[in-house]
Amino acid sequence: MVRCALSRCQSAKRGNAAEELEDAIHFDPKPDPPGSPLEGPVVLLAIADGATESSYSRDWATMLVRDYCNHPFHNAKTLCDHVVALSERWRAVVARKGPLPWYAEEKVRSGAFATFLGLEIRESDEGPVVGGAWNAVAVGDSCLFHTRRHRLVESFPLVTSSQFGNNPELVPTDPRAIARLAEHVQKMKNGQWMNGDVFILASDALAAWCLREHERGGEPWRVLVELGFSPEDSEGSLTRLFESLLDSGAIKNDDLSVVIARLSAG
Amino acid sequence: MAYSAEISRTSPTCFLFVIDQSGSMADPFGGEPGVTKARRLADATNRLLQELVLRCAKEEGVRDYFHVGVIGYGATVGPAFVGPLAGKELVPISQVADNPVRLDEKVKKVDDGAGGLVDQTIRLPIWLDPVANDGTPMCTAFRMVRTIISGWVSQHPDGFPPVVLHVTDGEATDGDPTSELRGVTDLSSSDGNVILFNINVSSRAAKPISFPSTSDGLPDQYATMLFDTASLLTPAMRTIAAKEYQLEVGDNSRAMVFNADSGLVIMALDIGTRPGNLR
Repeated sequence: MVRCALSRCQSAKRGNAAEELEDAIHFDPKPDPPGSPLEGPVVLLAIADGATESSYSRDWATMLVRDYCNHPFHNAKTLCDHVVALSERWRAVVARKGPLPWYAEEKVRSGAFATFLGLEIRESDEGPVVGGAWNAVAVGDSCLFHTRRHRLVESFPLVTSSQFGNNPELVPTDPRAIARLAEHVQKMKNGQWMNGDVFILASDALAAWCLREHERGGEPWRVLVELGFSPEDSEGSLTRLFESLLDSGAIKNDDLSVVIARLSAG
Repeated sequence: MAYSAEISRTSPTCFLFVIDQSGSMADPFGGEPGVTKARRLADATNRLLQELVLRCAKEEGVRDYFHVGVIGYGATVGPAFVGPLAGKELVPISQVADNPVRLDEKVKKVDDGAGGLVDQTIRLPIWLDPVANDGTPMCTAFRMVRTIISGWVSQHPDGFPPVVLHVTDGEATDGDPTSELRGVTDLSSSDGNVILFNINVSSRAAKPISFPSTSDGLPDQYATMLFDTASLLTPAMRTIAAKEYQLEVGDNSRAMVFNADSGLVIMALDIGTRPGNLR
């Protein structure tokens, strides 16, 4: 059994309304009762960052993370199959919005785009259970950090802050572009986890800050975990961290999302 | 650092197109017989306005990141929008989006994703029509531009500075416009001076000059005047020019093209309307 204490926080770009947030996060199974740790033989976590330039990208990001948590995929072929089916649903959802003005119609024609990162955490198949295996799939610059005792074990798919740019790879809704998606989904990763390990999923601006801090000798993982699991108002603590990073210019003004998962087995 | 202000709904920027509508614009571009410069320029401006709207369009509507205007000069000097926006100098981009004079339709062949092509009907919004009449009152036009931009900057003192995109095919007929052009680039917000693009279009099939760093080699005094009064390209514009258009540009490259064909006009307008920093 995988047992996963979860903390999360999302914040819309400064100057935008909360409902304009275009990041999406999702997980499975559902905690029961709400707020309790996730428990199951498999735990799934996903994050997606809808592209600002496209319309209905929040809907697209939400569809991607929910679909992954219902039917996780492990290779480029299954990802593309899922995306083809999902894109049809996205078009159906948009079509229900009714007649659109010329500019909205044109944006829909261009489609929506989002980065995507999915993480599957499994219990061990062997012997005394002290941990298990994980695998992840990513398109773009939403990042996964696997940490142990506040030290970085794995950074995926980007490993240095200099790799962040303005043109990340994206999952498109356009069927013509989906065919080319497989070429970009060479980003698969797997590994082993142990009791007490922490996985952090972050959208690009926060992920870039984490790696910059790490590169200059800081302990971003400790900061996030301590705030994320602080006994009182963990979400408020993370929100205040985001605010102070924005105030100081340490982080780009962008939608900010983080999921922090602390694992135990047995 | 100049030209680093974020462009957002609370801090928009401004694009003002200034278009030569003199009689000589009824001539064709050099090397492109059959279609007038005025027609090509109206088409390019309509497509640029469409692109600006699309950059700001989201599911809930069009976000007012930009204020936009078009000033024409020829037989008259003044706002060049036709239809519902006629007479307006600068309007928020959402008003541009909602008020084209008409939507033309065009059938386009597009990839069907299975190796074939299918017809797709697209709607092309139109805000201005080609005009070509009379002289080239550039000085008068830029006195009006200064008034418009001065008012905008005083209302947005910390915004990303306005970009003025000036397209012309000939010399002014109402005097030397140097001081009027400089009068516009002397204006500034706290984020930098107003940016002026001078785009010269040609009736001759002459060698085009793109974003020169020096006036050496320019053919005449008129070209030198356009060079001297044009702004330096901003860092973001230089990046787009180099990366997307493979142009050789440097720190001293001016926002000026000479003897432009229609393709170069579209490229220059695209570079000029992408200042970066869009939220």
